[in-house]
Amino acid sequence: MRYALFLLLPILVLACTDPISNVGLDLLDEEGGPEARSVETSLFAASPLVDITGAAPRVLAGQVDDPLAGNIFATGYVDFSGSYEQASTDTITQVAIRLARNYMYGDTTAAVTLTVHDITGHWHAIGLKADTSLAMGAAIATASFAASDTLVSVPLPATWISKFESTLKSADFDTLFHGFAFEGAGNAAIVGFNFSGSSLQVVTSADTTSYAMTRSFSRIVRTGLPPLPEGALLFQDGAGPSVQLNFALTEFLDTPINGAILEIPADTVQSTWTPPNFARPLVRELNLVAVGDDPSAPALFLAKTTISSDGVYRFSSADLVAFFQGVIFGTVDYTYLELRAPVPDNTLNVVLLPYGISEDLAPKVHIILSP
Amino acid sequence: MNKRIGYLLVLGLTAPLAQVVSAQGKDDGSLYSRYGLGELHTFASSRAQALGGGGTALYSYDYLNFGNPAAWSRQALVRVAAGVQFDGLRAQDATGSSERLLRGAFNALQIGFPLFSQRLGLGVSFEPYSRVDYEVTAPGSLEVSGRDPLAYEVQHAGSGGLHQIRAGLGWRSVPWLSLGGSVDFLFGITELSERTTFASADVVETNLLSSTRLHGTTLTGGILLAMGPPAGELTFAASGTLPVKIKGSRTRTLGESLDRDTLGAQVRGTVELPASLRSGAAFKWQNRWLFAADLRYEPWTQASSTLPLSGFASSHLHDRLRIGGGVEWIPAGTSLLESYFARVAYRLGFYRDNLYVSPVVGTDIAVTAITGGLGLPTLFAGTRLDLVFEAGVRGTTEQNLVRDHFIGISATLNIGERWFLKRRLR
Repeated sequence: MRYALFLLLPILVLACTDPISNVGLDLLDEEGGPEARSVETSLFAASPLVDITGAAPRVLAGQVDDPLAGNIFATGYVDFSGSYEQASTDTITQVAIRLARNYMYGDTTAAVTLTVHDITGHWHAIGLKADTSLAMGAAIATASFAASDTLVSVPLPATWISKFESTLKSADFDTLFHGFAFEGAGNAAIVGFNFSGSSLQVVTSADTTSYAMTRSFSRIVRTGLPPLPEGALLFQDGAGPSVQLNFALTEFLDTPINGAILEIPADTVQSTWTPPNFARPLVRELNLVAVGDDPSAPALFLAKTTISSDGVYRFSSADLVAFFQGVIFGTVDYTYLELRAPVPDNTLNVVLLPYGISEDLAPKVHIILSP
Repeated sequence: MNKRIGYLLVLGLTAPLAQVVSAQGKDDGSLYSRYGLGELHTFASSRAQALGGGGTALYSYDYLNFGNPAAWSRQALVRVAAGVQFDGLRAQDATGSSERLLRGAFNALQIGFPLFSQRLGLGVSFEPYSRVDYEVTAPGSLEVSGRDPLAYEVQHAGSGGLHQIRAGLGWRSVPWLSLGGSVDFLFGITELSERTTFASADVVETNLLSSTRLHGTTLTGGILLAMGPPAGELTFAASGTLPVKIKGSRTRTLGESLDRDTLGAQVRGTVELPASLRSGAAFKWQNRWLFAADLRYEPWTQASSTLPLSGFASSHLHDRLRIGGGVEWIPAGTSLLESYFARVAYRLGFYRDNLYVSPVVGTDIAVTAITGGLGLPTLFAGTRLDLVFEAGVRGTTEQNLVRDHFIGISATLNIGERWFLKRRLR
């Protein structure tokens, strides 16, 4: 019996060095591997989505008349937070709003004029949509500056200082003070001010106290949209419109998929063609979400992408594969897909998205499947 | 008795070891098992396996022979036989690529009862009918618009197979004639999987599993003619199994273990298996020499399936013709007084077979092998440990096919005891 077990031993040793076979692949080649199939959109249209511009780290203000995107007004709302760090007996001699510009849309050589207003009531920035109006008082100052200026200082008048001196010195400043609104007063450009570097400066005879910009909201209104090039949709961050799209995937019934690559070609030439000295930034980054029956309900984030060097937004992610697999299996409920700009950016960036012109320029999804 | 229990323990330990080897080998067997119902498995007895694998006309007191139910008539002892088999494989294709693969598997469990000693015997067995056992990984790349070619691997793997439970009787009506019959219940599951993986994080892996459940019942009959004196007995035998239509269902799933989605509806269908006809002759001389020859014919071109089995189409099916034979030599004959090695049974055989299904239309997949083995006597009369060796070649590297050089070693314990004895003294 012991001898018999010894006879089996060599085979057991061989087992430990056993590789996975790749012999006979030519036979399997005939059965094929994964394949990619392309499906064009069954829906590709402008979406009435109103962008969320509240609580972004940038606020937009000004007015622009864009030959491509039309006339757009932006009113910026900001609030400051902080505490008075000097002796309460010190007299406030000067108050100025310092604004750090890091975004521009429009005539880069023009002068921008903004009127400054007090915001008269308490407001929450989170979730505010671009068509929301906030109550504000009469103009308290006017700011005029070159659109190319990166730092703008708006001194507030003595009447405002005397009216708000106690508020500025109060320990309850954050509660009592509601911020400023900046309203465009010309057609030159819309600028964006960044939280970082923007502040409310309170100067006394002894020292200076800075209140940090902590809340923002941008109300954006479009008053007209010129005719668009044929076979193209306009996508504009902030002002809208957005783009909704969908696919008919019935041909993949019960088919397992490995990948889904959604391609949205952009017309970068017409999107960036502008009059001289006119800045119209291109949308660089886009999010793809799935919207359900209730458009106001939170959408399902699927993927984000940056425009490629060949001018195409390509979405691909494991979440996107899982979503399309769910759609194919009938386990996911949604109404349409939607392109959205990332909320924190808060821009008015523009892109023209062609459709129906040619097969190459058609938005489509490439489904990688294991048949 | 303690020794015998020890043997069973060893066998009991070795059987799981066979599964361990199979696991280490990642279910690696011949790629040919991918086609049809898998590789057909025949195990009449360990003795018959060493003599070329047929055994239709083998007829003895020491072994149960499931190649022919008529042979169950000559039982004198209650007999249990069980074994394990280890197969080593070197597969080679036309490109010159070769791999060494290994698998281990349970061989068979056979039980026999002499209802009337040497007149009427009962046989019951549980054994594999077919085996699916392979794993091949195919690399490739996929062109997708706007990105570099996607490198991927498809891991094709198969496991499972059909088993059969057989139960029947062998009746020796007159000393020279035995008849037998059995009911054969076929059942089992084959699972073919395709795991596709990509070298890219945004393209996910899929694991498609296609499970096919099959079951059906058929009948086997046999006849055995024994001529001449015991010292020079010549036997002729034939047996046949009826064609059978086995029912089945196929389910496709996506995912892993408990997290699976069923794809589409379950597909139901039938698989028609052909008849199996076997004939053989054996000649025993003075209990020292045994010569056996066998012929098996199965008209697989008449088989059909409404279930989608790979390669199971008339253009790929081939009638199976298997010939085999062998010789056994026991130097001591039936003497228990000779040396141990003189009481060992030395066996040598061969067979030539062809697969019933071929991946390539019009190409016959031939199997040629030599067999051999040792029947090691134990302290107990009627109990032997059989070691069987097999080495052969299957297939060709022409037309993108695969040539397997295989070796196999099996160990089978044949235990025979006299049961149900009436006390003669009170």
